[in-house]
Amino acid sequence: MSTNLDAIMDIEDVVKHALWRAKRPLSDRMLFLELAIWAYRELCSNHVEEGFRMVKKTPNSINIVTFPDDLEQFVAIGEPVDGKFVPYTRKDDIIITVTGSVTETQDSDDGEGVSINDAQTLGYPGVGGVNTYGYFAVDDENRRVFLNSQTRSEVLLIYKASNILLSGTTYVPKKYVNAIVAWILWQDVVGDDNRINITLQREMAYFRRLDEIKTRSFSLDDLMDEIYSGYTMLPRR
Amino acid sequence: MTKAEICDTIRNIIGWQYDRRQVAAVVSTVYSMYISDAMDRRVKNFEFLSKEYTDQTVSDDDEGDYVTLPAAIVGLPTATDGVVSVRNAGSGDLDYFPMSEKDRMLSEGLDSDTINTFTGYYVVGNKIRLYNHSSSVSTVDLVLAIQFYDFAWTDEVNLPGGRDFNIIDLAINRLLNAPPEPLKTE
Repeated sequence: MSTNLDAIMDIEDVVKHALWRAKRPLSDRMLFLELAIWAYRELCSNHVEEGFRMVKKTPNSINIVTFPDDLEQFVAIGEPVDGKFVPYTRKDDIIITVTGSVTETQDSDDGEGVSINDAQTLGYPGVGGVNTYGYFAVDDENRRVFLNSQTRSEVLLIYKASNILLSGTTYVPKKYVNAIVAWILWQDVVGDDNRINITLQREMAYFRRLDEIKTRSFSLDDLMDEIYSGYTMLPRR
Repeated sequence: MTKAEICDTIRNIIGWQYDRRQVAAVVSTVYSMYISDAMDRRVKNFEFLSKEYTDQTVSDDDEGDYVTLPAAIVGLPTATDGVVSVRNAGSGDLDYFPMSEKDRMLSEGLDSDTINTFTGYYVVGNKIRLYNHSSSVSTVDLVLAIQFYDFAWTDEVNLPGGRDFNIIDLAINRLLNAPPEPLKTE
């Protein structure tokens, strides 16, 4: 049994904490809740490790994987190889049009769904890395990924979500609460032309809090592991 | 002091020809002003100046659930005026939070509206509208800052700290400028 306080707290408790610290009335709760959600989303999207999700997806009949509704930032798509995730290579010149609207199909005469020719050593297909596992192109407008040349029927999609649960309790690591409160107080005054100095001070306070989080994110061992991961053994002669 | 005692204290000074109800009406105008002043002075325990109404029925109409105000409230510079708090009946739990109607409209459909689990309340006319209210809760307790006139004669009325002399003095000054009225009993 733990002898210390929990390291996580309900996001609604983060809001109460922020209201109390800022000496704001209870009637600001809804606004602070909205800001807290965006503060945590901002942290997870851009600054911290939380929010990464890896899910299995099955491409449809025309080799397209649709983004989940909670995907906020696409990271990678690939497949498992010997217990590790191997990403496909992004090729933005893959044809991402489809034929038909109600029922989508692919017309090979238009290059739709045609496996790209990456085996040649001369000419355009020879440019860039060859990935024997597959390639993909992102269709941002329709929130989906077109796969190409992959052989697996089930792939892995890695993305960033908001980390805010639709139902149930969203728990926030307490180490991020100071940064979340700083972001809330900053955003609360943004747009108020009479408080520009306060806005700048609060913006700086937020980034100071971010630095506190980031300096604690990596250990020296983590950094050395990252460096060594790029090394390979050479044969002795 | 009770409401009756406050009015009679004033009548002892200016004369018993003044009807107690006339005195209460004048005190009510002064009282509201000093209650609002207490809010401006950020009085910590505002419930000391309020009255509790228990087991108030939650009704509903086309716009949602609501509770009818049982008494006239004082207009205060807060989102919910004289509605100090709304609580679960009998438990005293503060699961209801005040909000403005503007907050309710702006948050509709946003992420905060999606994950919010608390019940909000805002005042429209003589109704306390409830937002995100559970249909299983049929009664609530209210704590209201009400008009002096709406206290019962036997209710203890707490006057804002340090302002009781001002309230009585100002009421006396106003009454002395008005002749005593034999008020009709309706």
